[in-house]
Amino acid sequence: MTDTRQFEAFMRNYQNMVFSTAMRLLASQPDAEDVSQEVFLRAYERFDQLRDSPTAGGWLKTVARNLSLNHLSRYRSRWSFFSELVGGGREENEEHEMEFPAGESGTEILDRAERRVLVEQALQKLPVAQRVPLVLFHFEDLSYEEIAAKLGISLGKVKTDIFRARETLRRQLRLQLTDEPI
Amino acid sequence: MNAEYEKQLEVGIRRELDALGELEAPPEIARRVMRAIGQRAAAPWYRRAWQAWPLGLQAGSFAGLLAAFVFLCFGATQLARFATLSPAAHEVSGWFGLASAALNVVNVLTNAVELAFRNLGPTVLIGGALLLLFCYATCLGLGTIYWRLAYARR
Repeated sequence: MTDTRQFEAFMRNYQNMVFSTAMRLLASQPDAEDVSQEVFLRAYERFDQLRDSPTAGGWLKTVARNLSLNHLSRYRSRWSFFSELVGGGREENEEHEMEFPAGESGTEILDRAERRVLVEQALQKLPVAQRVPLVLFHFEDLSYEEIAAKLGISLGKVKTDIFRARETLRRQLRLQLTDEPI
Repeated sequence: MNAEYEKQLEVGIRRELDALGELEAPPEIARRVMRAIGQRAAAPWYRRAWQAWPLGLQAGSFAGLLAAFVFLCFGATQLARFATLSPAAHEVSGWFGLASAALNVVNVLTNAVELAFRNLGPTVLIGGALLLLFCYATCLGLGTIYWRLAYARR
């Protein structure tokens, strides 16, 4: 098998992971496609090292994450500003909750595939200042401190943004918790 | 915020997000990447980045640039010597005036360092070097403090 063929097979193995990372951070398919393309072009340049490396997946994920964050950093000052300006969860109130028939919870009525689509949509609709820390925490397994360092924001802001993101998701998905706040 | 509620919320959201799995990448990505790789491979060496040139060409181009630089400096000094012979040589030497001046500065500095080594004791030289190092570290430290103050997290 030629190098190009091997690389094509390698790419097919990892393309979903790379695309998912970019898509969840950027919430824009064209941007996520551009970032994924750039990730694989960089991977091709060092394919000799990555080909048999057990850490190839980790390398691709890190590059995808960093390129996505670089992409977002052009707008970072703007979204940091808005996030702090709006505060108090006002922006979540503008979001529309998912429609479920009365008397039935979302989990009961939707099968798993539909549920996944709804969660993905809810995730993508989150404001960027909430979505990015949430994705870094839950999908990239970064700690609060690492997220703060990566985004150049305070630890307190990371925790607040992640909490607001979870709250928004809970409301949109109508998650039932036993200890709901009054 | 209620810590127990926060914990429940985290667990609930984690359960939802863990169930998501990976998104399916559009097949267009693979096509785009392979097309870009094909275009890069088909491009002639001089259209690629210098790092992607064949090793021989990299070495050759580097040696050529080095030779050109040496020739320029050497030529500038030689022209300066013959500048007085004819108006044409004077004119041409004027074009290389800057390179010649730079070379003169390097010569003067080299001579000064050589003189300092010869006439000053090693103690003075080491002391001077340490002083320079200290000044540099101070500048670096102050710069870091100012930068951190300016970009302190709110």
